[in-house]
Amino acid sequence: MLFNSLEYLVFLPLVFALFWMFKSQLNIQNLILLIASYVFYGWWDYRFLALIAFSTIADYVISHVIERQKPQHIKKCLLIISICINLGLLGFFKYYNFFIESWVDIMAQVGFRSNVGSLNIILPVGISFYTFQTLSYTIDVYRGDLRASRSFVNFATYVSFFPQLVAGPIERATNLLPQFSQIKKFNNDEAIAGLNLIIWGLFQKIVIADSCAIYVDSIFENYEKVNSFSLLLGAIYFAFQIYGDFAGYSNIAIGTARLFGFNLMRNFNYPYFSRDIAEFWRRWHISLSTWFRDYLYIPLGGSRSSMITTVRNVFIVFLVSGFWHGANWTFLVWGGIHAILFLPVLLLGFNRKNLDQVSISKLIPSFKELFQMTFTFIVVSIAWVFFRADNVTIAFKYLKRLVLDFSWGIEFLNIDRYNFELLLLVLIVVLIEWINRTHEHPFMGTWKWFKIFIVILMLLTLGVYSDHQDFIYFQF
Amino acid sequence: MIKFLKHCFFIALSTLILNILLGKLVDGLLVNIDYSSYSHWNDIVNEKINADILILGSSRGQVGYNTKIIENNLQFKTFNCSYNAGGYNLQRAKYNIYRENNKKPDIVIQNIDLAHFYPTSNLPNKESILPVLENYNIQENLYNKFSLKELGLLKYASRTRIPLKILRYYCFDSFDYVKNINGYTAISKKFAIDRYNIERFKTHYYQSFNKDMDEGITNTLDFVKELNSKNTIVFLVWLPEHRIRLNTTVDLRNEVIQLINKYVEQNDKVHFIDLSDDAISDDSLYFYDTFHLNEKGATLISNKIANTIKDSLCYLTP
Repeated sequence: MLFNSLEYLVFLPLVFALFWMFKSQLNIQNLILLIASYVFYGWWDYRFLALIAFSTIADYVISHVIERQKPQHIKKCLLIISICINLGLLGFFKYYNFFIESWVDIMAQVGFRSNVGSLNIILPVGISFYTFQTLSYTIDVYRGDLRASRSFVNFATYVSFFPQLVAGPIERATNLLPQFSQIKKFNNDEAIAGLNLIIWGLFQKIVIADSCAIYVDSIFENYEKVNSFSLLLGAIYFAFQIYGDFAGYSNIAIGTARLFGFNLMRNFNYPYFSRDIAEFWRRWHISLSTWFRDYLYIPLGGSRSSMITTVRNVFIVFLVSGFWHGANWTFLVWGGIHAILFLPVLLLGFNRKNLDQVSISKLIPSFKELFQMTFTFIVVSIAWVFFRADNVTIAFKYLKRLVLDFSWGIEFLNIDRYNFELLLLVLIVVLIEWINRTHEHPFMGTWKWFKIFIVILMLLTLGVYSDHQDFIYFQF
Repeated sequence: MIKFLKHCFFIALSTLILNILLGKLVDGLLVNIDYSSYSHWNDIVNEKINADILILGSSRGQVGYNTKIIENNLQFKTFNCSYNAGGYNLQRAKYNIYRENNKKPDIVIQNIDLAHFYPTSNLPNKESILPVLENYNIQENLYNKFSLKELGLLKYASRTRIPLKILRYYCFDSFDYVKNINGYTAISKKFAIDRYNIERFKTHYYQSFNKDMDEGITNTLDFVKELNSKNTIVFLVWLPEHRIRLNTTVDLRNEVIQLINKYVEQNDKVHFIDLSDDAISDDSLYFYDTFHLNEKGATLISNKIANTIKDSLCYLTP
């Protein structure tokens, strides 16, 4: 079930009504959420419910055994079993074909013919997200940061909580799990804030991301025929497509959770106003970057050991992060580019230089800030080309043509629906975000109602409803 | 909770009202653009045509029959009801919509050619019918996919050119568009070879008689039969094609023309005017591409057709 579908428009109010009907009965409320989450997930393919149920049971049992065991080596052994189960499922469903095909290719390069065939595997929606969520839980229990959940229903709801099940934010058990044990009181202001976030998220998805997607798809399909200017626009629009798509989903998820009295972590914090790549990673997909920081980068030693170890750790984290996004060399290259961009900032000690919001007390940024933000946006957009391209060769060809074609006519813009209006729309969004960059979303502060109605009007007039698009991050 | 529900209700209701009211406003503004394809459809569904002679066809029909010339020659109210880029199925659907809202025509001029006999699976030029999309007959005959996603203003969503068109027409009076007069669209462009279409003709379906074409011919002739049964005289007309196009489809065209001739011989109320290989076929002056007549070509041919029909009608009514 998609957030931007009519089914969800019926599903959400129904679950909301049922949930608050049992106001002070926590167990029933959690059970309602659990059933709703399984319905939500099963809407795509009910067969994968078994997978999520298996993962839930395995981690529930293992975490309890870990907690009861005293010897450290047994705890460690159980943790490894849990990691193997979770990553094993992820590896099989997501990476099996990639490894097999890569193996066959490598063998062919050295003159051997391998007969290992790939399998027709369907990737379960959101498997990367809930796998990481359950992993963090078991690791936290192992570390002693969290007690194993006594209630199976609470734990199962934590794993499958429908607002963030398929595309995050990847919640930490330490933040979300205890919320299932707290009696919920309906808070009017929180619910209204949640609703506003949903409206803003829908705007980001339906108006920004889906409009950009039409142009981006055309450009990337015809990259050999179009000129430099169109390729440049293709790269810029993809940057806004993926941002609108993913930030939109996260906002709808956070807003939906708030309707039920849950607080999910913020996943995006105006990332395109970052002044360096380190700041970008503090603002983009925050739940994933902090997950990697806490469960991979720091356990590897972080930046506290030798320079070589630091370089190694940075590369590992970014390459794994890239690979997490998909079983394709393009994602690995994307991760590698970010590692290369991040390292100088880290090694020169500038990584924690820009911690606050840019130009916080001024309306217009300084020339230096503007230059820094533009530069960061350009390098991030170049990396996005690898993220979007079908393969690495195409990405290189795309960039080569963009730089070396030297034709800057506006030929491709002259097609209906790919026109200047889209460029104007993107600029308006940048402006809206800039003005509201100190708020969680633009509906905060003054003129609230006016802003809401303008956005609703834009949803009605500029939304893409015919070319119905899935959220990009579902595939991860 | 009540406060929140009121808040939701207020947002939902105002969104719905805004959507419907603005949708109606845009509908109204579009259908009032004179000689536009929007007003064309609006006239059809609002019983404003009631023509004596009705022209059916695809884009070739739309640009090839000058309604004013035919009307002046024959002194019958004439309307061109062709469906731009539509095969026989869409032409038929448009005719059905027309008939639900207008009187029965006495004469139907059905334009035919090889492309006519192939059904169109998608809905070309959907934008033209947007202002009347909620109309029952449109949904019944042409567009059965109507959903809540297309209610009110939503049907115009992401069509960013529409507000610009409205603005230009009503505020600046500078709306430059191809005028649609009684369904006829005059194109004054110079001739250019439409290579893409020629290639499509050569490589795809128009080379041999196949199942689709067989079905198309049967359907067309059934439609003619149906019109005849209601006392409507039918003129099947094959408009001129440019020599370049003619040369790509000689055998198949002859085969189809033979079939049509055979049918016409057995039916009194059907006439066939075969102008496919007319004298103007060799003159690019009368075409804007290899398949479509320009304004000059349409003027010449419309006069010719009107005279032929006049002769036939004299013969029919002594």
